[in-house]
Amino acid sequence: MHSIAEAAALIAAKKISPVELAKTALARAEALNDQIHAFIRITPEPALAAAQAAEARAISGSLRGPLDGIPIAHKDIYCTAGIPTTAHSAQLKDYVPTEDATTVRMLAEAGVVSLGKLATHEFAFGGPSFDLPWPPARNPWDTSRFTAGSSSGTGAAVAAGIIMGGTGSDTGGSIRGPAALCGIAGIKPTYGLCPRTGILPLAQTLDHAGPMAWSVEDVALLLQAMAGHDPEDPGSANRPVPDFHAALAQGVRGKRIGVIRHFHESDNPVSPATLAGIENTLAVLRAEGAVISDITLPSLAEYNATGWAIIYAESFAVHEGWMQSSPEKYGEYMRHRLALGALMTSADYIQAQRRRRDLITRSIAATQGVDLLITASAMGEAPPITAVSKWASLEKPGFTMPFNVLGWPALSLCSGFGEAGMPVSVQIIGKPFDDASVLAAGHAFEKATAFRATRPAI
Amino acid sequence: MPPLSETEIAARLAAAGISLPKIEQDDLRGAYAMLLPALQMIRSPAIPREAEPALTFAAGDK
Repeated sequence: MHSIAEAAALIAAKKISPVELAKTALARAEALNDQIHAFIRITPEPALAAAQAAEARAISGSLRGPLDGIPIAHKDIYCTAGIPTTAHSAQLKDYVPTEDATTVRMLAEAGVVSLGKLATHEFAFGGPSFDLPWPPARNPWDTSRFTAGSSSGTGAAVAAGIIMGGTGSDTGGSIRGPAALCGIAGIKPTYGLCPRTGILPLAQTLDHAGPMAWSVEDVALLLQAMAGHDPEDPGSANRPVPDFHAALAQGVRGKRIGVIRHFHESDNPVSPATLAGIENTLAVLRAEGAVISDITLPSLAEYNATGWAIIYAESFAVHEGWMQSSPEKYGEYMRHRLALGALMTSADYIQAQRRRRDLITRSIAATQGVDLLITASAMGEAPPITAVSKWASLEKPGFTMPFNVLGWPALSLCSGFGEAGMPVSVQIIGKPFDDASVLAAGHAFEKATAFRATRPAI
Repeated sequence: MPPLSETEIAARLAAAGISLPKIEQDDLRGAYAMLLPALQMIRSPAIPREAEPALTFAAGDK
């Protein structure tokens, strides 16, 4: 399996054909989907049509860029014109949008070949669930294990080598969680960087759109196509988009990296393999010229309390009508999580938003002396899929939520493997709109290590 | 902030226009008890009354 960067060079050199790439990917999707359930819907006809168009551009020397002819797929909360968009839910089982989500259109304009729609936790919230119209995605490293969610299908399909990249969304960790447990890379960009128009919302003040891929370099290429101002999205930032791929070359020399050690050592202690992966990441980045120091932020619990209070309240507001008219159409996990939001008061929600502003102020002050932050992105290796609690988010504070609350860019990437042979991960975080430095640090780590050479045996 | 009683859970769901079986309401009661520390944490320490409001709107162009 080529990376996007490798495939782009081969397509440009006319050494591989976008049509052959698409056919191979479609065949692999069909062959593996019964095992990993990554796809809700595979769409061969539009995929081959897009691949043929890309091939024509390759032959005529008019390629649109490094994504032209690259096979990807979209999380099934991204609206796709003429193709059902279900949110993995009976509520939208037959919903066919008339317009593409803005990011779907932007990626199509860059020439990608979409193979179909990917599994998600129900409406990016309820999962893993076994009572929905489609089964939950399985982890390609061990199909008895959890992918994490909610961008579960994207994590599984990328790790399985079906697609070279895909779209995800991240409200409390839904890009970085699956990236962590599936051993790939995924970035939750700065809030406002990628348009959300046409993506089914979970909690609008925390929702982020972003890419997932095998390597950080490929994530940078996808992010380039997804970033930009969208006047239809009130959270969209109107500012120039940097060249993320070119910025990878900047590395980390001279960058000041703060280690949020209390997050992963005492607030929620991680597995030995995860801790070793974090320490190795720090050693590699130090050797690459970064300056490492420990920093202290507010507690992981405080960010999680704030973030989950907002998610429960906002998601109930999004789903209020269906919760009143057809709650039985949701899976149990989704229905119960939404109902918890119905128990909250308006004061709970406003206090959470006030606390969020307070946390942002304190976090900015605490990170004055550093450019990047590092902590865990998950506790350890993927657990059995049947062992995931409905109320897991309330049982232990997660490592990803703080950066949804803050809106800062955060990347999860593979930092090694644990005792069970499953991937472990590390999270690199940056200041608002410095996504490029986050990606450069992740790329520097991947270049200096060999973890990208190991794929699942599936 | 005390936990919600069985009656209070039923009342809040009814106020929200939601009808759920008793067994699901019992499960929710337990979940709300787990959420309660979070709802207390976002209030402590109290944010000063004069602090900037969390949600504001801009009238027209900034």
